[in-house]
Amino acid sequence: MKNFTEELGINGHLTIIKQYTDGQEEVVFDDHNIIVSGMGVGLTYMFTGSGSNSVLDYQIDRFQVGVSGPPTGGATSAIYQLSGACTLAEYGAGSNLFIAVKDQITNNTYTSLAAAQIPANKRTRIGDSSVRYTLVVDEEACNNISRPGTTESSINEVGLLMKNPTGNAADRPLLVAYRTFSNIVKTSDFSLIFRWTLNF
Amino acid sequence: MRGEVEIWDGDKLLHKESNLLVDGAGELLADIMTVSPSLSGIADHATSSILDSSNYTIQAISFGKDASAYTLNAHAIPEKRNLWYNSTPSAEDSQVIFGSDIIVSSRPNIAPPPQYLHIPSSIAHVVSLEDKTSSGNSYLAMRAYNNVNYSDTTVSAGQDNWICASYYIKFPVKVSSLVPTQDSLTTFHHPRSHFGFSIFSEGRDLSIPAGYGGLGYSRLGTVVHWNDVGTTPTADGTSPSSFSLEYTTVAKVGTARSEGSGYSINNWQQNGGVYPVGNGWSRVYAAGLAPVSGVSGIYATLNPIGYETDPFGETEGGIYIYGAQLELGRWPSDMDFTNNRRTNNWDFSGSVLNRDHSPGTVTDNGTVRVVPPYGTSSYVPTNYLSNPPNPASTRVEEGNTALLDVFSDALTNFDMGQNLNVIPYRKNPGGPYGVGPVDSSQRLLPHNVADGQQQIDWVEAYSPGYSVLRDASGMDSFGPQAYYLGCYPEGSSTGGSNFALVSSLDNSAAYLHVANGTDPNFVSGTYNSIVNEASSMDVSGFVNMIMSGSPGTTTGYAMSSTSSGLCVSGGHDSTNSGTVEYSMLLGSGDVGYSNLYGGIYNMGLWTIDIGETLRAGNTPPYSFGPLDNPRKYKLFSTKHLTKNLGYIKDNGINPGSLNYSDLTIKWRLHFL
Repeated sequence: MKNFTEELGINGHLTIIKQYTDGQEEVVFDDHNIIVSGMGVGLTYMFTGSGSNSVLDYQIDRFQVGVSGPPTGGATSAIYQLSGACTLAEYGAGSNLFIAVKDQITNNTYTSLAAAQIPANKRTRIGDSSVRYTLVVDEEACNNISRPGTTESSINEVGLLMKNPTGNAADRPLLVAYRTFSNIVKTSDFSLIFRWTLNF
Repeated sequence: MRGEVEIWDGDKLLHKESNLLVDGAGELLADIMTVSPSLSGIADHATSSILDSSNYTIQAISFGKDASAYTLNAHAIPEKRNLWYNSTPSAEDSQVIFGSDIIVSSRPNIAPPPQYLHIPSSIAHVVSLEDKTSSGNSYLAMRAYNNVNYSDTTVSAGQDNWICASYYIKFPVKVSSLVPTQDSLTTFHHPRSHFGFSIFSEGRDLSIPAGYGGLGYSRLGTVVHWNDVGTTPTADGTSPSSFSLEYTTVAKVGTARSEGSGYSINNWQQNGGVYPVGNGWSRVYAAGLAPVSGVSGIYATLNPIGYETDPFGETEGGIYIYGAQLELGRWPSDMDFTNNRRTNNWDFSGSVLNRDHSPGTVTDNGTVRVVPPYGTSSYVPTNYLSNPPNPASTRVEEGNTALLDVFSDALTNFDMGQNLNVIPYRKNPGGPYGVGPVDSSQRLLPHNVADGQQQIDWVEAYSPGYSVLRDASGMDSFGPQAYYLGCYPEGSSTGGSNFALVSSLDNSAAYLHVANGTDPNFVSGTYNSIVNEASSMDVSGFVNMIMSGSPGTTTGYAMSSTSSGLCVSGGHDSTNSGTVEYSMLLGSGDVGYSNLYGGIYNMGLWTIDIGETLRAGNTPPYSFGPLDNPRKYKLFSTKHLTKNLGYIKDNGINPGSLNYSDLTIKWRLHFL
């Protein structure tokens, strides 16, 4: 039997756009995404009444970008965290992004990871059962990332996170959707816009 | 097919199959993801409560069947509904009296009410009634006495049944004949039409009490005012502006009239009203409960215009009438046109509406009677195909399930797509004035009687003090016609609901109430409801979700109790199985009784539709109530069965209809 999220037909589509300061745009990626098992876990908390009492805690209100995709073993629905999620510092101090480091639920453990907030006005209902998330990594964010052993790390993975399905006093986010893409070396010449649509 | 449904009879698995998640499930998740966080900052509790996660989970289960079955089986309304000899009054009809110089004319050139434009004038046509003199109360009377006036009835015909009489009326025949009379320097007596309706009990005594008519003489009626009774006209002169009910006059003079002849209710009660049907036509009706002691006659009088003595002032003029109907029940149903129809006791006894008990004993709850099609003591309902499972479904049955919408222009919007649960609440008192069609029905079902508020406004316009007498009113409940809607019995603490499988509905064997031992097709008994005993099913048929299990702590999805409603358990336990199980105990009585109404082929899981609920003016927290449920639901998933859950057969020892057992429904959603 297929699982609930597969049967329900939850799927997503991700478009990544480079937007330059002069207004030009370049679509660099346009493909489906992967709904990971975290979506089912979060909804289970919801429907059993065993998680948070606030519906806001089940909303997708943050995202991560990373530099180590695709993960070893390939991108599957079993993924619970990005392979190389950006750190707080890597998101960049001058960025407009609001970054928070939280204990993310990672396979029955918790891992302290940074994630960027998705403002409520960037979460738009575009149909009876479709929601579009517009994630903006502005010019000042995620530039010149350098990990040990590399001189210039590229952004190549992104994930959406549910806020706090367990209802813990301090938010414990949960990865619910994921996608890898071709390397993008982020510079201050452009913003990266992730236009991510989930169809429930 | 998504998720799975299991149906268990004890430890025996009867059925296991995948279900279908519908579009509403996706819409719910989109709701969850986009509800505004700003609501959390509002101090108002009702507003911030919108964010409570329980508003976005499964909250109800309901059951249904194919749309055709909603007009068959115990839902079936008798074909011979109209008990008058002719639905168009005629001087040649001995049931009809034209009195006091009334001028009667056949007017086939006048268009009938819009819904009957297709009816040939040879079947029914408009008649004008004109009162052109001030010498007396011109009237049209229609009467049915036992064994006269084309009636083959005895005193037992219609006893202890609600009986309703109605006409379509249109005012005026000539505008120029409208002559308002000045009552005083400041008030005017405007025209009105008086529709009197009397049920004569066996043994009535007109000498008791002195004055108002006598013992066992109902003298009910509905008076339609064609304009306001005050100084300023509030209507256009051709539309009803208010109405009053004659039972109030009876109630003012004590209870002797009601109690002397074995009535099953205290004091005379009445349902009545007048409601527009289009093109200037309105339908006026009056209904009363016949005495247990027996009925000697029924008498309906229509004074087309004016009433000389109360209040004073003669008004001359005329009205058009169409479609006289006399029927069982508290509400008028659509026209059943008659031409020379004789009636007998069984026509007056009806099927599900018939009651039979002795004066002074406990009132019979009512008995549902059906004829098993195959002559066995297990009822096999008549069904046709349901609409096929469809992800776009918004209800468990997409077809038209509106029994009363089809059969009555007074009662509408019962098309809920599922089995209703009206019977336990058929006596529910009404709203602030106790004068439903109307307010009571608004409470009975979220959708309701057409022009309900208008009826309240009209009756209140005439008599602001009406509410004082509301306890005596019969307007404030749905009444016995609830048995047409079904589909679940009362709980055991209120005596359950009786049923009988009979060989025929037109002989006395059908009404004996005991197994006579000679007719193999005759079985009777009582079904008790679990959901109504727990008050966990609302009148619309939604079974409320209760958090019976202990999510996160139970193992094996154990439920502490499933007898109180829909339960949820399992889910996020230590193994993170990702399974949520909803379970409900469908009692043997609920299965058996609903089988009389066509069985159970469909079921659905529902969430709360927050948007619709808020638009209906209801704010959280949404406390469940069976009578006045503030929740609007959105379908989440459905299951269509190919076999009736109520199917049963005789086992050689016990009749199948007496051998039902509780069923457990387990509905699992797998999230991982």
